[in-house]
Amino acid sequence: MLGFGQTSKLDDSALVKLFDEHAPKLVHAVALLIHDKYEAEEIVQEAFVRLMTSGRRLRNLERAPAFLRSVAFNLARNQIRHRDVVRRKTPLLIDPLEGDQTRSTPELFVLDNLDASALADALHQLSERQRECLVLRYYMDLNEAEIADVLGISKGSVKTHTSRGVEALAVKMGSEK
Amino acid sequence: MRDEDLRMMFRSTEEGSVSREMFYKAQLLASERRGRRNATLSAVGGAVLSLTLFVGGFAVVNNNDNRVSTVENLALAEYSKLESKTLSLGSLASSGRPERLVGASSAGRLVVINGSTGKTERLLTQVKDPNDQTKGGLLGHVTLTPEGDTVYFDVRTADKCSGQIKKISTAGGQVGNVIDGYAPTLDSVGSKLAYVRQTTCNELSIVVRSLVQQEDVVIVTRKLDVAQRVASLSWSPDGRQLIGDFRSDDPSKNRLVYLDVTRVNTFDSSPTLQPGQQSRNGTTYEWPTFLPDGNIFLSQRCCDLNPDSPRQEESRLVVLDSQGKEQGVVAYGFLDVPHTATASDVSGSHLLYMSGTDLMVSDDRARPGILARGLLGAAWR
Repeated sequence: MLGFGQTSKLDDSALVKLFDEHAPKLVHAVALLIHDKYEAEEIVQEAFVRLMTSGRRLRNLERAPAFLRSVAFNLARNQIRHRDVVRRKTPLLIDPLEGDQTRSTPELFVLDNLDASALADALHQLSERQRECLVLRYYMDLNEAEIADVLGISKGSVKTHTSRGVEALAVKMGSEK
Repeated sequence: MRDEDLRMMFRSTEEGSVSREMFYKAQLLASERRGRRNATLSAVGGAVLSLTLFVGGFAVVNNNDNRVSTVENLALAEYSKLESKTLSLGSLASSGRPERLVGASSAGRLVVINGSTGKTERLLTQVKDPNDQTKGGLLGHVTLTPEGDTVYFDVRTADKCSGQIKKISTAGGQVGNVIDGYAPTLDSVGSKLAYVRQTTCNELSIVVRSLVQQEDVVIVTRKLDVAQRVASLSWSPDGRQLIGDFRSDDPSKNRLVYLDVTRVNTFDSSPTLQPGQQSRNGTTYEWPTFLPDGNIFLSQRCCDLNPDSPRQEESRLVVLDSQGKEQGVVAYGFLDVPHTATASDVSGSHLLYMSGTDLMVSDDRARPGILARGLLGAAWR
C-alpha cells in the first residue's frame, strides 16, 4: 500500500480515485445531516482540502476514508451549531437577500413529491447524535466500532443512539417498528 | 423497521452526482494553504539557517514537496482545461430557453448553470472563506452583458450595509473589482451599469455608471432615520428608466419607484408609483423586473399589511403593465416562502425567480418548475 506522503504518479490517480469513490456518498451523507446539499459539498470539499494538506500526519491511504468521514462529520456538526447561533441572534436589519437555508421548501413537496424529502425531514427532527448514527449505520454501512471511531464516542453509546434513533424515525415517519 | 428496509430507504434518497470540479477546487485551495504555510516556514527557516551557519553548524534543506506540486500541477492543468472550454451564454437550447445562466449560490459560489437541466457546468469563482462561514459570500445580484461574456455580481463586505461589485468572464479567469456598492444592473445594450451606493445604513444613492466613459451619475439619494437598502433594480427596455425596490426597517417607508435616469430624481416628497396599489388595498409588490415589452414581472403579496382586509391572503408572481393593470399570473406561491430575485431572458418568454433558495423557471408563463437549488439569484440573456 502506498503511503500518502510517498512520491508517485499513482498518488495522483489514487486521490482522484478516492474522490470518485467516496465524495458522492459523503456529500449525500452530510446533506442528510444538515439538510442542504450545497453546504454538504462545501464541507466535503473542505475535508478533501484538509486531507491534501495533512502531510505526514496521514501516511496510509487506507485511513483516508475514515479521516474524510471524521472531518466531514465534525464540520457538519459545527455548521449545525453555527446555524443555531445565527438563528438565536437574528440581525436587526432584515436582509431580504438572506435566504433561510434550513427552511424546507413547500414547492419541493408539491412539485417533486418525493419520499426522499419525507425521510430527510424526519431525520431532521431527531437529535444530532441519533441522526449521525443512523446515517453512518444505514447509509454509510459502517459497523458500531467504525461509527464510534468517526464520532469519538463509545460503542455502547452508538448502540443506544442508533436504537433510539430508529424508534424515533419510525414514529416520525408514521410507521410501525 | 428492519435494517434492510432502513438501508433501502436511505439509499433511495440519493440524488445527482458530484462534479470532479469540486476535487480540482479542493486541490487549488490546498495548494494556496500550503503556499501560505510554506512562506511562513521559509521565513522562519531562513532565520534558523542563518543562525545555524553563524554558529558553524550545517543545515540540510529537504525539499519533499515534489509530490504536492505534481498533484497540484495536474489539478491546475485539468482545471485550466475546464476553464478554457467555451460555454456560450448567448445561445438558445432547443426548448427556446437560453442554454446557460449564471447563478449566485448561498454557499458563495458563482456558477454557470445549464438552462435546460439546471446542472452546474462551471464554477466561476468562490468568494466565501471556507474557514469562516460567517465572512464573505455573495449578495445574490447577478447581471450579464448582452453577449453573455461577462457577469457583474456583488459580494458582502465587513460593512453590513454595503457591498462590493465585481466582474468575471463567463469563460472563467480572474475576478476584477468594479466599485463599492451592490445590486449591479446592466441595461439592455450593456453600456450603462446601475448600482446602489450606500454611504451609511440610513443613506443610499442610485448611481448610473457609463461603461464607455467610466463616469458615474447619481440619480437619486435617499436618507432616512432608519436603516434602508435596495432589494433590486431593473432597467426599462429603452434604457430611460429604472425601477427600484426600496426597503427599510420601517415598512411604511418601503417604496417601489420608477426613476427617470435622464434627470436627478427625488421621491420621498413626491407621489410614488406603486403598481396596482390603488386598486388593491394592503397589497405589497416586491422585486420588479422590466420585461422587453415594458410590462413588469414581480412578486405580489396580498393583505399582510392589512389584517382587516376581507381579501384572502395570497402570494403570486404576476405581470403588470405600467399602469398597474394585471396582465397575467405566472405562479401562485406559498405565503411563508419569500419570492425574490425575479429575472427575464431577452425575449421575455422565460422568467426566473427564487422561491426560498429554489430557482424557479416559467416558460411562456406556464406553471414554473424548479431548475436548481441552493441559490440566491440568477440571470440569463
